[in-house]
Amino acid sequence: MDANNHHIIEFRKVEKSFGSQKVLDRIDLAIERGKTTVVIGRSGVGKSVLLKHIIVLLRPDAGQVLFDAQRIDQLSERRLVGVRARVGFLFQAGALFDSMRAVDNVVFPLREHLRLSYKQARELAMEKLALVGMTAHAEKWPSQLSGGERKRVALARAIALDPEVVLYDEPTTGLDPPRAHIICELIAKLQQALGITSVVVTHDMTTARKVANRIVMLHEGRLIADGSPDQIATVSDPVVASFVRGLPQEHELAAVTVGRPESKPVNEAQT
Amino acid sequence: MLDAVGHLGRVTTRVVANFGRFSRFAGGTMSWAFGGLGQWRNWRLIFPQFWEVGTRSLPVVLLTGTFVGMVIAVQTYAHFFSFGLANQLGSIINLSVVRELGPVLAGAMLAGRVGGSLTAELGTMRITEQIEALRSMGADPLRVLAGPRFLACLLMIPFLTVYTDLMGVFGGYFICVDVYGVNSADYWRYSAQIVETWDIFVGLAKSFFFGGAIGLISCYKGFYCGRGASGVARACTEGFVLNFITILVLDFFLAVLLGAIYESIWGVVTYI
Repeated sequence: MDANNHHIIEFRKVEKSFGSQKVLDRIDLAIERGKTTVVIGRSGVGKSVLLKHIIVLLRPDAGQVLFDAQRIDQLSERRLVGVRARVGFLFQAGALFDSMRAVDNVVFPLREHLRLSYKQARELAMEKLALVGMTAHAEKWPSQLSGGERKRVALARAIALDPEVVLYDEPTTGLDPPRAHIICELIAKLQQALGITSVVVTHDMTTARKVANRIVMLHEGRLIADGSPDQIATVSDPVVASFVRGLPQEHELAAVTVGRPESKPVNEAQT
Repeated sequence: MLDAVGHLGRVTTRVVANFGRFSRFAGGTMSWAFGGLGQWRNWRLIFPQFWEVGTRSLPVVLLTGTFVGMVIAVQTYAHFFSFGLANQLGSIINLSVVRELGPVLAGAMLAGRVGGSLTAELGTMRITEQIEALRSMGADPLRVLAGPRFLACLLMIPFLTVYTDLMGVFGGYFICVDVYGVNSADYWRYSAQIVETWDIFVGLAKSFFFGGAIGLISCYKGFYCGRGASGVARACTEGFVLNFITILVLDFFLAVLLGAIYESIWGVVTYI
């Protein structure tokens, strides 16, 4: 398998700024086909921005984004339809359409891309809802579902078109531990059973350890760590170690305990 | 001084950039709306909007029309009666209703009811990432969301204006004939003498443009609203104000344009 075929998604020197804030700073990243890659990092660091570049919901200021060896960041919205049909996206809060019942949310992408009658699309949608254990809730409106149920329906919608890649934006945020565990199990199941490539963005290390084949950490616009979950657990960089262990750095703690202004230690390394 | 020039420059740039963005949005929406009419999957999206924009707005426009007719009748009766012209009231009431007040007031009401609802719905969809979800599925939000809503406004608002006109005519008739005792036959006879087909056409032509403007402005404000509940609230307020101002400005220019067209065809000036 050559390198191009091995990597389904590639970022080449991708840069993105909002106003004066540089969120992505010359990011190089290649996502392996059939594996689950988890992007970790603090809240607001730009993980979701990175994820949205994969299907060009955001366009880079500089650099290139490649999908299946084809450059996609310059494609028009119409030409991106083909790429987007191959990718499922689970949004942080589900982003279910309020005006449709759960099952119709899953029917929507099916009827957008495939020539199916409503009945045929509904049968397929029910199969997808069964995969995430939500058939009993098929007729409910999104407002009648709990946070975890909404995410499961949204996951069913994301996999409706049997995508090659599924992108998860904070899939377990806001869920209690048992429901977060269910979502992690679903991510693992989809990857193992269907061979789907997954990219998961999260700040929850429990989720990351459960689902990841590979973890990369985004910090101040750069990727500062890259490795398997075991390798990441042993990284000595203070920023990575602090995040992985779930403990703040000394200067951050001091800022809240003694009210000292937060400042970074001069030796805070970025690798 | 330099600060003031700089501020003026920034404001100008922002206004031009926003106008450019609106133009692209309007062009894209109209392209999807008219270009997509041949596909059944688009009609699946359009019919629910006809119901939402058209049928559900009926009570509001019926009430508006009725009171418009009744208010004009009450306001004008005393003056016409003092000149001994009460029997001719039908002409001025019905002309005012079908040509000017029916379309404009129906437009204003619909800018509030339909426009507010469209902006709030699309704004909420934006801040809850539903619009991005559509894009992520390879569906163009302009085709799925803006196009059908624009078409519904464009086609339904003239129909709603017909109902406003109708109720305005009945409202005026009720006050003049049943309350003030104007002769019914005279009321209709003078109305028929003064109100021409052209006047009804002018009112409906205006409402067609008002409908298009309400659809485009309301959808645009929803698509590009700011973050959070306050962003949606601001978008709704700005949308209504802009809709109403646009209706008044369009009303003026359409009156001039349609008057000029009438003059070029029949050779008589009929500016109102």
